[in-house]
Amino acid sequence: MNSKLQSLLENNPQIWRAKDADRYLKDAIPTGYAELDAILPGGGWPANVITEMVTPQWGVGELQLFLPLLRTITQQKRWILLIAPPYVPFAPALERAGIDMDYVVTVQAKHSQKDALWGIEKALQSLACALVFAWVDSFMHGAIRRLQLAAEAGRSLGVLFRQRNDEQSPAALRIRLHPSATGVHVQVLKARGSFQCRSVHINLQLY
Amino acid sequence: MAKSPAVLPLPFTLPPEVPQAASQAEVEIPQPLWLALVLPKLALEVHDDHRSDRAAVVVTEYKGRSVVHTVSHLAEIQGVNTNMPINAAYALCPSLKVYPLDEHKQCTRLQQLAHWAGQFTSKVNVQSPQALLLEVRGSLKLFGGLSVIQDRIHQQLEQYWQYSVHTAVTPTPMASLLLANSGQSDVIQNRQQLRSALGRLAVKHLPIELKTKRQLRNTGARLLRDLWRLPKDGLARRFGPKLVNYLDRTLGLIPDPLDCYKSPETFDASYEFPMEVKNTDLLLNIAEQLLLQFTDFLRQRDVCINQCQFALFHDKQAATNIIIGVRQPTRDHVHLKNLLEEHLNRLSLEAPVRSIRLSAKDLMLFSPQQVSLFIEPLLDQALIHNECDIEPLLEQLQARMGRDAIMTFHSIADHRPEYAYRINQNVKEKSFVITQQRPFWLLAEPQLLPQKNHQPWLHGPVTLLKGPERIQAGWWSGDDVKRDYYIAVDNKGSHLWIYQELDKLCRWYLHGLFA
Repeated sequence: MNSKLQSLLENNPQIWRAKDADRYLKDAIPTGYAELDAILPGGGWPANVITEMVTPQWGVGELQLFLPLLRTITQQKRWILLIAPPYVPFAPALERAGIDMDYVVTVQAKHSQKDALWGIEKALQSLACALVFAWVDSFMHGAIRRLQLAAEAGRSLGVLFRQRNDEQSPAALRIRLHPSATGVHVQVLKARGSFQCRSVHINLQLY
Repeated sequence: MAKSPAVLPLPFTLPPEVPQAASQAEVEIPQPLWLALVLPKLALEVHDDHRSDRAAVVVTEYKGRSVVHTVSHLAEIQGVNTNMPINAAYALCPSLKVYPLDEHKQCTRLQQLAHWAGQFTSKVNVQSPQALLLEVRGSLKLFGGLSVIQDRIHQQLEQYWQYSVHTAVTPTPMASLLLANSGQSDVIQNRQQLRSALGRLAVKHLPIELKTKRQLRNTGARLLRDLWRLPKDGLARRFGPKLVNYLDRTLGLIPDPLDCYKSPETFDASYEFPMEVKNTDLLLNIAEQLLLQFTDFLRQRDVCINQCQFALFHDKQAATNIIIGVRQPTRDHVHLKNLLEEHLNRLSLEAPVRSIRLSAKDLMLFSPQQVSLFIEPLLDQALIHNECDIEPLLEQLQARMGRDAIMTFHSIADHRPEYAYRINQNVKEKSFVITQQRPFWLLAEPQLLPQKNHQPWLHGPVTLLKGPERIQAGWWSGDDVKRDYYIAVDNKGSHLWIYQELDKLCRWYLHGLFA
């Protein structure tokens, strides 16, 4: 191959090569929903990357979708950080769903968005923290890429809940949730390692 | 001794080990070994701007005149001596730098050094104004010999802090001090050799009154050897019992108990900048050194802290305080430094800083964290570097986002949703588990919903799906709740948990979301 082309491919962070995908797909964590596993490349939540959940409004089953993952992580006594959640995580309900609240820590970012971003990065970099949920909507240019690197360094999974659909986002997996009466409708907007963007309906026992 | 069983009226014969034990008791108890550490130029060296390549003196008042107290090496070469009037010293060396005698500073510095010496032995005695005594017999095995200890003392004091030091080691504290003060660096292990080793010292080195020294010289006693030859009772009659007592203590003929230095209960250290500082990088540098001192102090006292305070002092303005709090007691230097960095990065200095001070109270006993001996192979690297501990991360976040930004939530048995969880407090006893469905999200304050045609309204009509579930509790505490809860869905598809107050107004509130 042309050496110029080679260096361009290797050094430009904007270019992602499909053959690198295996590395991300290998450690995918099963979601606990067979229908969802079927449409995600790797058969589960991709590990060590940033996943973006585009949710126009809260209260459509966005947490329920992660319930099996939350359960597994807290049972393994690894930590989960909720950064800038929109509401109070209601402990009786979460405990009833099998989550050990000893391992769930909430971080408020009252002062600024910048603090929240900084907090997400630090949490992702930490090896102690296995999963970071963040409710931050607007990101500065390049911020998500930075978080992506942090997630890789800290071997943790980052999930950003956003109300806005940002087509330019470099997150490895982007999912849009549509509310439904019997559960939630999951639409894969972008998945690293797959060109197909499929959608599936998942039945959830929301109440 | 061995025959004593026959004499003593004991009801049984003693076991055969007893004579052996008695013979063991006769083994001589190891003599103490005192290391005297004399800093002859301390009065000069406490001044921060003193440099060794400069002729300098410290002066003191004597009978209304300024006389030289301590002379730097370079000034000594040019002929300046102690007790010389300052004018004479200036005449010999015009470029002389003169400092006043600062006894308080010298005393504090000596206390600091006593604390530092605590790394070699627990028995440290402060001999003001410029000497320390260290009992090192008990530390020989740990450090691997006397020469190692001496080397370390010299290395740290001379090379690192640039003090001039004399050390001498003998079995009695006074003899060590006498030798070190006269500039001898002898090592005498045995008390029997003291007399001959001290014999060659001049009488003028004895820490006794000038008058007595003169009297001794007049009797022809110039060296200590001459004193050894004089009869003790005669000596006591002519020169007073104090001298004889001192000589006996020096030779180890009578005991010489000394107070041990005890490090203070609180930590307080400060640094004064030579000029005003506005740059936080420079502040951080100095603060780091203070922290290093602090963590050394903590380690020596075997304690840890969960809070310490930096104070930055300005001119004509109230001091800026930085309180560093940790969630778990610590004495880790790197960790505290990271937290401080976080604080300093956020800090905007309103005025230049003159001096910085680090203080800490409430020291706690240190209990080391337990790490499994057989660490799982996957996690070993992380565990060794203590990276699997969430606390450092939380502290870092807390340092930047504020003390109340980090929260954990735990459930507690209460039917009223707003009282069914506790912040930062895990209540272990749970008397009942709610069987009804509860939402994952709860609004901290219920949100009042407007009504249209007696129906709740949230960006559109709200459809009730399930309910009501009546919650009526808390009348005993004055915070009573009387509500009918419904599960509902709004026109966008969000699943809501809403309630209607059971009072005259019958208002609707949004209280949670099923996420």
